[in-house]
Amino acid sequence: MQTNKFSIPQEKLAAYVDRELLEDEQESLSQKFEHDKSLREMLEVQQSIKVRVKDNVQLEKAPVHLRARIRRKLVELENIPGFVAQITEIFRMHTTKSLMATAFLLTIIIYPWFSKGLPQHVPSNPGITATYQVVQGKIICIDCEQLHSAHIKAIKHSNLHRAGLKTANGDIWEFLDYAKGSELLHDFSRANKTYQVEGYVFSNNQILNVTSYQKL
Amino acid sequence: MNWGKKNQLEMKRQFENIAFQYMDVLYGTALKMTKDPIEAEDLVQDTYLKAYRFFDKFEEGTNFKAWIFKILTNTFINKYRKKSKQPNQVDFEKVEFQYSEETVEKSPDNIRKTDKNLYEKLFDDKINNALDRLSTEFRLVVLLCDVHGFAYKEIAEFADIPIGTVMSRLSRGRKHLQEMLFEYAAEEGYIKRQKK
Repeated sequence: MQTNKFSIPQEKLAAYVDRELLEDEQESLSQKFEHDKSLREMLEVQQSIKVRVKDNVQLEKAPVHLRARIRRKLVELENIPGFVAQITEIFRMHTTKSLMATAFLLTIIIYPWFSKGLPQHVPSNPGITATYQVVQGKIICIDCEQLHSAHIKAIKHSNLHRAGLKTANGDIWEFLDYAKGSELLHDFSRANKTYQVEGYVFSNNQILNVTSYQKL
Repeated sequence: MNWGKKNQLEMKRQFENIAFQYMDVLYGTALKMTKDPIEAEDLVQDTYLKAYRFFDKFEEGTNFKAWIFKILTNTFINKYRKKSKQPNQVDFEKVEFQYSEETVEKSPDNIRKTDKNLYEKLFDDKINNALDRLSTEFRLVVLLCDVHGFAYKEIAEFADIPIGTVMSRLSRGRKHLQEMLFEYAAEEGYIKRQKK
């Protein structure tokens, strides 16, 4: 709060002039003003400015057209019904035109959707491609083969091992445990027999999704 | 005001009877606030439309002038806040008054800054110019208090600020007015002035 050189906050002085202080505060300041000429002069200036502003600030009159303009706006405000009521009224008055307009709007909205045709079947994962393969070779036990090639001697075959197909050039194909592949996967009665296996390979590996097989 | 089943036409007639008598004073105040006749017209129109929309909330027997001034002030402040957020608009709060680098010394007639007679000699247009030069916040409270005679409590409600802020703005506003009027008095030759 700003104070003047007489230690009376400026705000208090303004409030005193406007008679906004509590009665005892107003009284206390009145006494100070009585005994201090300089303080009284400051007060008089504030009062003088307030009076001059009150008496001399000229407020311009409203232009003549403003009253009419506001009156017109008030009438407009009154005549604005709710949105649904407006639409209903328009339909009632211009049924044919409204139906045509609605049909036109619907066409505009629906056409782009139809023009694209029916949705196409998109593979669930477009990143994976499948290639058809026909491979020939001997049925082997992949696990035993791997352990053998690692020079592990004490190999004990188990029915839990996986069967695969070894081609003439030494490639080993695994079978996906699915459909026909499941029939080959753990059936070691076919071991060392030559088979032709057909199926799909997903991605870049050597795992066949077997569709058919036959003994050669 | 409880209109019950009174029709809209009657309400409009009643509204116009009460509200339109304040048209001049509202427009004059709006013009002082905005300093632009077109903006002032828009502000008054918005005020009337809002007042009409909420006229059923107005309690009969209470001060209509204070009620419609509250709407005017609120509408103005909201518009002014929106404007001050836009680029290239003046932030009135930051505008400081540029006072002359001259000092004023006592004239042979012993005219001083604290001489109330000094301010009484100035023409009306100087008072109006000084008021127009006040920043928006100060001008608003000076107008509402000194021109329209609203109490601090009412002004605080209108502008949605604490009473302490009203007191502070009013005091600072009058102080700025005093400084400006003193400058005008010096320009008019009522006091002798000397360059620093």
